[in-house]
Amino acid sequence: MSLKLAAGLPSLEPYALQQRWTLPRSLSPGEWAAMFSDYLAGLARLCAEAGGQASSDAAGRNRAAPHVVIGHIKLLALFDGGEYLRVSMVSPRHGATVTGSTPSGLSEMPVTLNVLVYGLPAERLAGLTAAAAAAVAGHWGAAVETVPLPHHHHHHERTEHADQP
Amino acid sequence: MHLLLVNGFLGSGKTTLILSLARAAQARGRKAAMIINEIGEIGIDNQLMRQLDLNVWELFNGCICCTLTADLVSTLQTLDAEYDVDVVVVEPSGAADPKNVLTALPYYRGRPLESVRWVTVLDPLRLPMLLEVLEPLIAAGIRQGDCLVISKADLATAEELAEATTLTRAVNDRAPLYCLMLGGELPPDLVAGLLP
Repeated sequence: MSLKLAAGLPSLEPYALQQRWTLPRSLSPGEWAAMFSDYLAGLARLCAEAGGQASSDAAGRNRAAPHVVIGHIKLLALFDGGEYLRVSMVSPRHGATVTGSTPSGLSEMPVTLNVLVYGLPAERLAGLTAAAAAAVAGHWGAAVETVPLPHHHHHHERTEHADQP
Repeated sequence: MHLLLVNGFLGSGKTTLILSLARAAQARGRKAAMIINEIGEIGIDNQLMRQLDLNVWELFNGCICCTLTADLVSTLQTLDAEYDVDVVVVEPSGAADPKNVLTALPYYRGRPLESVRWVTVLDPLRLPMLLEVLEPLIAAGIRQGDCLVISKADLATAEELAEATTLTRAVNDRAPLYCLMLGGELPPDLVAGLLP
């Protein structure tokens, strides 16, 4: 799916994937958050570089309209008991935002990643995502497996908790 | 049934605000439903809201302002006819043009909506850049807002907050403007205004 919003705006081709990260030892909640923050920061940097803009733009903005605009890169992991880890990245200039936390003692984790970047085709985003994952996995000694996406059969789907109205 | 539309560019902090509003609605004894439209093959925000036991309705495979306006209307009518909710919170995708979402509402055939309010969420870390490269979309959102929220106030410098405020006020100087910290408590007057 490609969204062209208006004349003059770069197109948006969303890219999503699910991955399973496996570590040789269990990580603390802080380590998981740090690893995934590094992952998204690396991906944001690669996207910015692919668009030809310096990720360390001292002025903090793009005076010349960039070819690539990072919309939102976000990662979510869900756990039993209502726990979750959400990591969000909107610019290579700023660090990732982390909300929630992982349970203790985990050495593997399935995650969902949404990459919403204007100006880069999904195929290119897939390559950059793989490169960013490989770099972080190498640093942490992790193995990363891509999991096939579930197929949505319905355009409109209700998901509610049993005790909701 | 009140309708609250939460507008804002991708990554501006809409979901964080909605989660806070959901907690506030619960605390006030209000029944809230969320209609979430995410771009992408997998919705992350709706998964998160489901994990938190919120009443979530998802609109998939398109943008609420383009191809999913009919789905939005039919979902509102279902909520009106079959569920006794006090407030429906709609999160259009961060790429939605608010004007287009509004064009759908006249087709709603349920009981008259008691109120329709827009809150626009703005990211002070990127607002100057976004107003340069995506000006029509970002400015339309600011203009539309009945209430303006500058998010991530704790992540921005004082200069960034001041600039974001100035840029926002240059487009819309009538709506109340709040600066909120990530995950911080919502001011009571903001809650009262958004959750009547």
